[in-house]
Amino acid sequence: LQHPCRSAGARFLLLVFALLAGVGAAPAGADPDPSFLLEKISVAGNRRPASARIVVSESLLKEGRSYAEDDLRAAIRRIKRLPFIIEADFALKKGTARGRYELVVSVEETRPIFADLRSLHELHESSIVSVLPSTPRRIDFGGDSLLGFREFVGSTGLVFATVGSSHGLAQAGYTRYDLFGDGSFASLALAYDPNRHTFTPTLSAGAPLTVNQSLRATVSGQKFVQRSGPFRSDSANRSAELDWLYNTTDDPLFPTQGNEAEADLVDLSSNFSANFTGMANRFSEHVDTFTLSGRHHQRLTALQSWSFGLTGATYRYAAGASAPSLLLTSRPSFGAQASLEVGHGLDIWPGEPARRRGNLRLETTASYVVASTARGLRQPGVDNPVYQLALRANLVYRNPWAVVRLGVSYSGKVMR
Amino acid sequence: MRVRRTAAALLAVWLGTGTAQAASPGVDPPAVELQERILVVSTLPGVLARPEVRPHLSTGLTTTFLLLVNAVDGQGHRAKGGGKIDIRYEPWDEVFLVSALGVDGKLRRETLASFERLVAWWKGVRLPVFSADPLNPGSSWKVVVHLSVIPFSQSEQREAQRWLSDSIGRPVKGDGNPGGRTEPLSGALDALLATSIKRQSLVGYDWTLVYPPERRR
Repeated sequence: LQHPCRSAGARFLLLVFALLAGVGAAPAGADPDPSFLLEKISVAGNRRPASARIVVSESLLKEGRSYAEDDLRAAIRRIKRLPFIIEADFALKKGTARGRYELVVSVEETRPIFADLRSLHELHESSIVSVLPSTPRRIDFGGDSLLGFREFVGSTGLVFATVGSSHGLAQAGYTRYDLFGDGSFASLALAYDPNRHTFTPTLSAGAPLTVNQSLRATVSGQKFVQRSGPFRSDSANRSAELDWLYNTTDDPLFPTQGNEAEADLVDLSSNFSANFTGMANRFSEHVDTFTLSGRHHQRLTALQSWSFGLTGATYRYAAGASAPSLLLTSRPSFGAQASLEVGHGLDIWPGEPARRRGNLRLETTASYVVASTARGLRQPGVDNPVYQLALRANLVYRNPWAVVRLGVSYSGKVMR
Repeated sequence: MRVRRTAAALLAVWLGTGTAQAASPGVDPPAVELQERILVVSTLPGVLARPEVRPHLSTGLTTTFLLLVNAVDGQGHRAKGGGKIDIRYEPWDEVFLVSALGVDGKLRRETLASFERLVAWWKGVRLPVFSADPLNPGSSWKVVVHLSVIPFSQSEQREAQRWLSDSIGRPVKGDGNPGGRTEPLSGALDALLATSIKRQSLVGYDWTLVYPPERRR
């Protein structure tokens, strides 16, 4: 005799299987897989014609071609990842002949003046492990609080200028979209540090490989000279970075679904020389880093999502020093770092209030980091490798004018 | 045991933060009835004309309505199921193309010439959502109905399918414990609903009904 509940369970699974089969074959409306011949793509809600051109180019959609809804979904997500777009929607209208459509892309842009305000209260038992060299990720967006201006110029250009709260770092630049074809960009920025009187030029360029993959290259350099009587010091830093990026997330700031993956190759070199009455001492460092990272975002409930990320990196460090009668070079040494991060996001204002007042989201993350420092960079008395747990909570608000982050973080070594 | 119960309660509250929407004031609840031991949802609530839904229906792209139904009888036996309705406005023919799918796997397709006819069809559609075999017909059932509206840009057919596939392979707890809590597909179907719902465009409705099966048969 079959257990009644087991039998019911089996029947239930059969029913679910029927539903599954149906979902697999479920058509959109009466058409099993509708596709639309786009005769025209127009943009509504943009402030300048340049932004419309950039939006259409970024979508990678072409007039005269047919697209399924999946293609349109990928396109709308690409558009939403543009740094000046807050929201985007698609609608189809009748074209000039039966079966042809006009795609209307409605966008909401950020305002010309924008602020990125950050406040992080740190409760560190030990500082967060970061042995990896870093290069600026987005040259029009600093790591500290800043006030910025952004305006479209020409057919596909964008000028920007920012002033940061940290050391008064100022940055100005120009981004040209579509320089190497649809969805590509090239950006030149110049940052000025008023304390050290240094200029840092940065050139960055990117191009899509497929709808969800792109390649980006960034080079930057910095030269700093200090004089004090007979003493003169020169330092020069150069960095070059090549990134492969894969991104299917639905939002650049508040991703709630989709995947991100990135592979970065970074080359950093710095040279320092101190000259005192004709006697020069030189010191040089060279770091090559390879980083692989991936993150998955998924909705838990209507207002909540979670993410899981893994990062692995390895680097090679080499240093050399020379004095008038001495030449020292260290053998290259290697370091590595791996981290695992779990995050949770909660939308505090759902639905219509979010549209009216902006998004407010509480984000919490827990990460576990294992870092092994290269021999040439180790300091006496400091553990190696280091095992560390870091917890962060951030309240993030976004509207067309500003992004505000208020956060608290804790990190501590994990005893083993 | 107490710790586990507390943890489970905390988790439920935590997860519930996102789903606990008001019991949809101003929207009449759907009707449920038994038909050959299958629970059928009918007289779907009049949400199509609501300002948070209507704009999605005229984009020319597919809007999906997902129905998730949970029921529990007086002895704690549970059943769960759902259905799905796709609606797309075709600008050239100026018609609404609709399809409805219940757990019977039968696809109901219609072409409707106006929004008024769409509303009438919506009211009349009958969607089988689950087999009522696990439930005791001798007691009243508490039936919770959740309706989610998923606009085109957030719909994830493949994601939904994957979740269902995963859940079929998942062992059903409580097989040997008819009175205990069972959770066939609970997380999976919740996620099926949730994976595609966009933060700003999210529209969800909840109703709790009491259904007395003996008196209705």
